[in-house]
Amino acid sequence: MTRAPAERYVVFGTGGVGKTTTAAALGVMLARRGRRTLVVTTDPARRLADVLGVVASAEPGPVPWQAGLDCWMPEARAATQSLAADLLVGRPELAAALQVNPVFDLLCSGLAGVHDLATVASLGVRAAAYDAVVIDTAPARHAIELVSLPARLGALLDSRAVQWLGRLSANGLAERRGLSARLLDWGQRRFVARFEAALGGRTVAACMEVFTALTVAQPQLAETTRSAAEILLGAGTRHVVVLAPRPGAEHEAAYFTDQLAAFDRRVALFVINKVGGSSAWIDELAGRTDLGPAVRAAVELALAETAIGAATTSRIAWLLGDHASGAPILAVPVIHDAEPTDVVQAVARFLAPACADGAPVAA
Amino acid sequence: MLEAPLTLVVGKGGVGRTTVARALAFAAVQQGERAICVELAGDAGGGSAPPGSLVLDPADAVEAAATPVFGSRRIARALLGNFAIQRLFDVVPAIHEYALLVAALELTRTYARVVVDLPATGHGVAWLGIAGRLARLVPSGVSHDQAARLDAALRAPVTTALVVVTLPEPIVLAETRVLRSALRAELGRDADLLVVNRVPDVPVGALQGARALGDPAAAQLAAWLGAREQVRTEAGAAAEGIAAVWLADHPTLPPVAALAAELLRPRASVTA
Repeated sequence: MTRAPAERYVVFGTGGVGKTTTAAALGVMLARRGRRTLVVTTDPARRLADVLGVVASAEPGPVPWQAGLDCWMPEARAATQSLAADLLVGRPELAAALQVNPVFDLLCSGLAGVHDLATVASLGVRAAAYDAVVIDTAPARHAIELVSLPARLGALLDSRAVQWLGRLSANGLAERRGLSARLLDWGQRRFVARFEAALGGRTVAACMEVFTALTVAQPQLAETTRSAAEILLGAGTRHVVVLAPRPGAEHEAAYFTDQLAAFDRRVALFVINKVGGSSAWIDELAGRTDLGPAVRAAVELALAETAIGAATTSRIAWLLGDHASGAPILAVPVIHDAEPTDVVQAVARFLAPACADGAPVAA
Repeated sequence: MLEAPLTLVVGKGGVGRTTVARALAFAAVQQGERAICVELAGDAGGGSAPPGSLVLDPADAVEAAATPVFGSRRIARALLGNFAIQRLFDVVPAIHEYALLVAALELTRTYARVVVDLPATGHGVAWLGIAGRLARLVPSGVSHDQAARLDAALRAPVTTALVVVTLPEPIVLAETRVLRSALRAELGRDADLLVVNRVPDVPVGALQGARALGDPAAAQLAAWLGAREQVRTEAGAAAEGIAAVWLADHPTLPPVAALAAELLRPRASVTA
């Protein structure tokens, strides 16, 4: 059984709330506690590389300025191909056939969802070498679609479905080669014929080849998928929801809470990023009488934004009352640092007290 | 502003994409056009759809797209209802997006303007290439024709307008630039409109005024304003060469919080 890391964080949030920075900061925090830590993003954009100040790499690689921290930005085509090569190591002829299979090529071509699929399928294997893993989820169609992916993949891999497709495909391919005309029964032949009429014989044959490969890879793929499910939704996994202090954030918080509840999981921590505290300079300028109208207007704007930030933050905390169910709500102030890596380190210091060290929390 | 019958709205989760899509449909209605906004059910943050929005069930959309391919809805349902095919379709990437686009193109027969709220994929424009890739995979037949027709429609600016929604934040803007170059690579065309949401306000002359004051507090105000000015400049750069709409960020307290603030304000006693 592939071992899942002892400490696991999954970070959710919509665009522009500082989700990737929070994920990177969690990684830094864990690495500073002496854990061998992997931060992985399912976002194909280079955000994680940017905030960690590294060059994006398709394989897990070290973050030079933080000992014990690796980051990984899987790339759809490379991840899918290397996964197929790993899983089909005992069947080189099948692996070679896939390289020229148009359906497999379509799967590798970076269609929406391939990236998540490849990441989830290899996550179990890649994360096994670490004590801790942090997953930065992409703001996807369904915000937490990713966590349900192992279950859906598992349902496909459930022996009945894959075996049915695999047997149908193996027999269908054999018939195409003229080995026997009696391998498929009448119902199966009609089923295949409908698809052949609709998609063409070559496309259906290519699909069959992919199904055959899936049958061969099934036991191992099911194993790594189970491990990915453990990482994403296991009892000790901590789900962190990142919010920004803006109107509507409480709805986002409720949405993620409800979605996780559907998997019988609770949010472990809410992080409200970019909270503007009352700054001394704003208060000082607000009391002055020597300001021109334009500067005065700017000070009023800064005052209003600070007030709104504070009111929205406390409103989120209040409205989360029912949803939070005891999960701490951590406000992280705006951090004015030019370097993203400095921001990450500062956020890590804020997160540390809210994230219990050691044993994973019970869900 | 946008003349094409099909308008695709793209952007990451949380940038205000759904609101922009609904606003585009509503704008068309106000011009007297028959317009509709199409969304996929289960999209995050959509809330309840207003009138004028059509929320498609992903499985229904796939079945509808497969109907002409298999000749009848009954056969499509029977084939796609196969337990193994169902489970396959639950994980096959991009199939729901493809079905959504097929449905949207079909709706342009009935509506003068169809606005598609495309799911936030985080995968750039990968979904825009689906139709072309499928057309190449299936060399002929109804399925090929369907994919090829959709691909041609997506590539043609007279049929399809592309609207990108973004935020004035360095990382999001950098992604918008990547998205635009991907559009050029994938479809051979650029976006038609960039909508920049939540653009921070900078009062005219305030930055110069704050710099002129010279004291530490004013310097901090200048730095605060300078950072806002900077993102405005970056947003302008991201929109280079295409039409752009800037939606100013006018922060307002939610009514409940505003009333609470008013109630908490110290005031002169009435009875005195």
